[in-house]
Amino acid sequence: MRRLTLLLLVAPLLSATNASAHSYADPALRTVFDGVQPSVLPAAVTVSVVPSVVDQLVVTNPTSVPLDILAIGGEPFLRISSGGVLANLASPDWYATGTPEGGPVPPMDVQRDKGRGLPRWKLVSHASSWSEFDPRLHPQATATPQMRAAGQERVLAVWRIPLAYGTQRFAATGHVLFAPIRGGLSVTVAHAPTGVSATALQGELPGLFVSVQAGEAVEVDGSDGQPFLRFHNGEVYANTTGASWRDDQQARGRAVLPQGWARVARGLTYSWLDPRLRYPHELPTAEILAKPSPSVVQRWRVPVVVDGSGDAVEGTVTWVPRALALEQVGVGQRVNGVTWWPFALGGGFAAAGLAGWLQRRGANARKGDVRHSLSAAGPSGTEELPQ
Amino acid sequence: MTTRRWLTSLCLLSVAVPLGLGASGVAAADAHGHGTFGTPFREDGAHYDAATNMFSGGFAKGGKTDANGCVAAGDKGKNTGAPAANPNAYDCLPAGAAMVQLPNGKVVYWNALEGEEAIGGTNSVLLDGGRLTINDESRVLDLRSGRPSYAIPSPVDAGAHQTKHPNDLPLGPLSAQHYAYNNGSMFCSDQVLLSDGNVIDVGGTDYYTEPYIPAANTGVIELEGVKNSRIFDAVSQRWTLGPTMNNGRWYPSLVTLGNGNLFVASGVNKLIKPVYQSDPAGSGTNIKQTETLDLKAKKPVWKINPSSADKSLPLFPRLHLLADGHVFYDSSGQDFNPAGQSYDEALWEIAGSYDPKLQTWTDLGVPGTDAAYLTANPTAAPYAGFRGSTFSAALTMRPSKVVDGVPQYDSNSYLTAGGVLGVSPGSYVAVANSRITTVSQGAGKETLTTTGTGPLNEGRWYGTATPLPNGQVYVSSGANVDEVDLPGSESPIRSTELFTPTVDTAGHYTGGTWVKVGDQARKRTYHNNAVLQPDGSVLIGGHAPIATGYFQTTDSPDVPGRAGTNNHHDASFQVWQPPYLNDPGRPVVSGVTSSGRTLVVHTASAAKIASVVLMRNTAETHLVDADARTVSLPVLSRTSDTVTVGMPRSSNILPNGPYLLFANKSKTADLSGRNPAELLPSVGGQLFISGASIPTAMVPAATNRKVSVVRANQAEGPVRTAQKSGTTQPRIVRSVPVTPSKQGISLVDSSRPSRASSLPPALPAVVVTVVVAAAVDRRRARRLS
Repeated sequence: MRRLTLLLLVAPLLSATNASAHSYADPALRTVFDGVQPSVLPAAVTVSVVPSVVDQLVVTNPTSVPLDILAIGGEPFLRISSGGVLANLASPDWYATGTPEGGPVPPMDVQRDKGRGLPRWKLVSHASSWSEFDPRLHPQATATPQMRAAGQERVLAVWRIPLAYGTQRFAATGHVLFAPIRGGLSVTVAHAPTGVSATALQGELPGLFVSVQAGEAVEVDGSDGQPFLRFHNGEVYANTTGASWRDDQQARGRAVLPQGWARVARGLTYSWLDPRLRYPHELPTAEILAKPSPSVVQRWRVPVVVDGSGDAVEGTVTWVPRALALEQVGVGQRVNGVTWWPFALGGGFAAAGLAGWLQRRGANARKGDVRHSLSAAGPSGTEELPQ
Repeated sequence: MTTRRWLTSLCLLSVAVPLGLGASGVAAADAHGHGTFGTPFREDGAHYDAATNMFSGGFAKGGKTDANGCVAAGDKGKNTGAPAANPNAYDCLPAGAAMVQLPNGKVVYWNALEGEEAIGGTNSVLLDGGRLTINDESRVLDLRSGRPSYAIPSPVDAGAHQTKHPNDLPLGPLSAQHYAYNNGSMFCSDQVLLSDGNVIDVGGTDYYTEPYIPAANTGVIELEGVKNSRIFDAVSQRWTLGPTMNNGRWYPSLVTLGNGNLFVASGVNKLIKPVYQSDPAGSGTNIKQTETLDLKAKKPVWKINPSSADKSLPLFPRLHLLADGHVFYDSSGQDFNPAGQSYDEALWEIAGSYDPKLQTWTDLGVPGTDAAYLTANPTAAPYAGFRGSTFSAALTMRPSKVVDGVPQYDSNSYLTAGGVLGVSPGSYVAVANSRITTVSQGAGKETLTTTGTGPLNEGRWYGTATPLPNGQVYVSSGANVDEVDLPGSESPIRSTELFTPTVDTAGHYTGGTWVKVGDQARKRTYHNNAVLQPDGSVLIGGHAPIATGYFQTTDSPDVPGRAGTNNHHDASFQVWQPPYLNDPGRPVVSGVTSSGRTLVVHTASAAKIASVVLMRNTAETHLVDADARTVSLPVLSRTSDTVTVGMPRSSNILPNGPYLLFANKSKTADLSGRNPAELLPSVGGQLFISGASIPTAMVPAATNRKVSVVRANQAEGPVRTAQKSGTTQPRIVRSVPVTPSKQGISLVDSSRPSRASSLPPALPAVVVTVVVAAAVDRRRARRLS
């Protein structure tokens, strides 16, 4: 095993799906959005939870039928429609959900214990969507020491935010999940042809660094089975019309301009990002998670032709349990002694989560292309192991 | 002395702090041979109590200061120190988050996250930091008299203001709110010393709030990279604006190229929400475009390099100038964006080399993956690849051979230790692993290899490394975990360690060991710092942490087995005196004679001098000093009172700028210089290197308002410096006046090719490397020369 990517305390921030979010000091606790119950909404109306600085409930309603978000006291405090967003200034929840930390303090005449008067609606946006920092997304939840010791995922609480679409009542629902950090994924190279040296690059989207011996003519196939790279006479050429070039360039945030074969580097080395090395799931199966030892969860293969002879760079993705990963770098005891739970009030993580979400959103958009290319991978690509 | 040998100034003076004493002037005895620490001192003159490790009784900014150096409430209960621009902010003394050892012996430094630690009450850093932070203040610290004195540069915050914000999100009524008092902070900029000894600083922070909720006067803090560069005039102690970059950069790295140009890479334009509507593809990652500033241009302008020079890099990438003139990326940096992830982060694993001529990058490999290294270090596999929040310290460059008296350098080695493993999310917990990456150069090829060393005695996140003149490396400050991930979760590390490399007979690094050398007094974690002083001591400073949990400043107490946090800025400094500092056997260099391409070092210890080194003056922030280098000059010959050493012929080895010259005396009969622990360095003397391609001499005029480039052709006879130390007057080939830029800045270009410098390199011309002590202290220089 070349190295381990350790997914420790901050991992859930970055590996969560869009449906989960993070507003607890304990990074192992996540808010998960289950959906709306019952399913009464038109397709154009969306309700979601996104991780911003803290979790936000985001509602979009481009129809003319108003969608109300109901406050803790039952009164509507946000009304969203194609005509814009109205806020009920008489509802304390309008003030409580305006900022991540629950402020500002409502005016004196808007207090929960003094009852609620008639709604005072005010147009706050001409758009047909709104996001609010709803405290109901984060019900009281604490993982017990026993739960931590067991290391199993547990639902700690459920949450519900009532909504109204016209005359129909429904609710956004979800739960708080205790998802202990279980380990990490390590991408490694198991075989490289003679004359070729390859190293896996760890990351959200892994990559390969390849070095060839001087004088060797080496061709690397892409995920579409077409030639992708050629190392020749101390220069590197890429097939800019191929799928792997497109995947790599898109993952680097570059525009893809198909121009046939083009020189992309001088020298005997080249690196690229390659979805063939990526494990497609957030976690392996429960069976693997239960093992105390590393488990190979995926094998990958990148065909290579060296001086006319077909071969491949091959490797694996290995799941490494957290305890083992910590032990291998000599920090197992220390990390267990870190009393970090009382710290942090969620803000920093949430800020991180926002950036993660934004980036992931971009990555997901690119991922669509990537998955499309994988479907035509042929002899190269990913073999997910039976688990 | 022949006509081909000429005496230059013998004024190899120390501009040193008198043996690194702190404010009290008292240092403990070095009972264990591990060096000693001076007493911490602070700008407000506060009394430091060692028993409690606290300051008290200070006075600054017109008011009494509290234990943390913030202006306390005045007699009438008013916070007298509140800045006029932002009366809601506290006023605290700046910490040395960035520190530059100036050629005049002073240190210019500036703060980070100014105003943040005093955010409290109903406010929080996350929501109110964009409004309550203020531009960082700068200071000049002068320790030359043995007692610290401080000066306030003008303007104190360096005067930048970013007023255009094309990356603001279209949030309608919740659109961003910007503030005039914190839109040009030096926080998270990078700096290098210019060839004339002034400082250029690029990038920084524009704080603001986005989205902003007017009714609540709050929102979410956002930080934007600043496009400005700023020039600090070391003599007048004034800041002026320099050429503006094309990209706003927060956490960039700046490096001086062999031709004197400046190269800047990475940084992020917008930190919390890196979403760029004008550049959607650039969203969610760091700035890939690199830029170059041609100081030879009549009006220096930052130019974006072609796309072939683009590179995805972490923040504050650890960059260095190699002996072949390329820029090396050592597979380490800060992965904080804010969580550090970037969709192409896997590429940060690869160490790479940038060729400024071809303007292309070449991938060299992943440190720690070469077979020989893994065979020799079978447990090292998990530590390979990218390392976050660690240092990449340039080890002494040793000549591989000497040809006709000219040393040849064909490799560079960099020491990395501690930090956190892997790209984001990384390991969070600091590791103790240590390694040396070496780039060997020859025949147009670069080869990357890794060498294992012994580990740190303690895993350390964000330790600052300070190379010493004898080749050892000192590390100070830091914490046990990544404080940025979870501010307040860290346990500060007060122990410091010293690395001694092992070197084989060919001059290659083969490993080394770390030993603990005592505890610093103060807890310094994020934005800690240190610089090497001319006397060979280390000035430790800095510490500007993020508020606990990104919320408000809170300290946790010490408990058995775990040090509590210090979540306040620390404006104090402390001097570590290495074991050699008070050794009576230290050599004394009385002067230097230049002769051809050699330097003749005058010292009574000539018979024992094992090496002479030139060390670039330190300009450190965020563990980064891209220009740092120690170049060992080979001993060619010696007499009873002189040692003649060879000078390299390439400005890639010695880029223009200020250097400290140290002579290392061996404590044994071994004069190979391969055992740093056996070397006693002299006090450092300040000199300048100049020249378009070949290192030559430069004597700054006293005013530093113009720079005299002194060059000589051997065929034309001896040349002397501007110092009046002999009968022959210097021949001033060219004087470079102040070149006002479009922004009215003073950029002094000492690297512009002169008539002499345009001579073919093959000519046996050149070289006058003049040792000039404190350039501004002419009176003292004349007296002692």
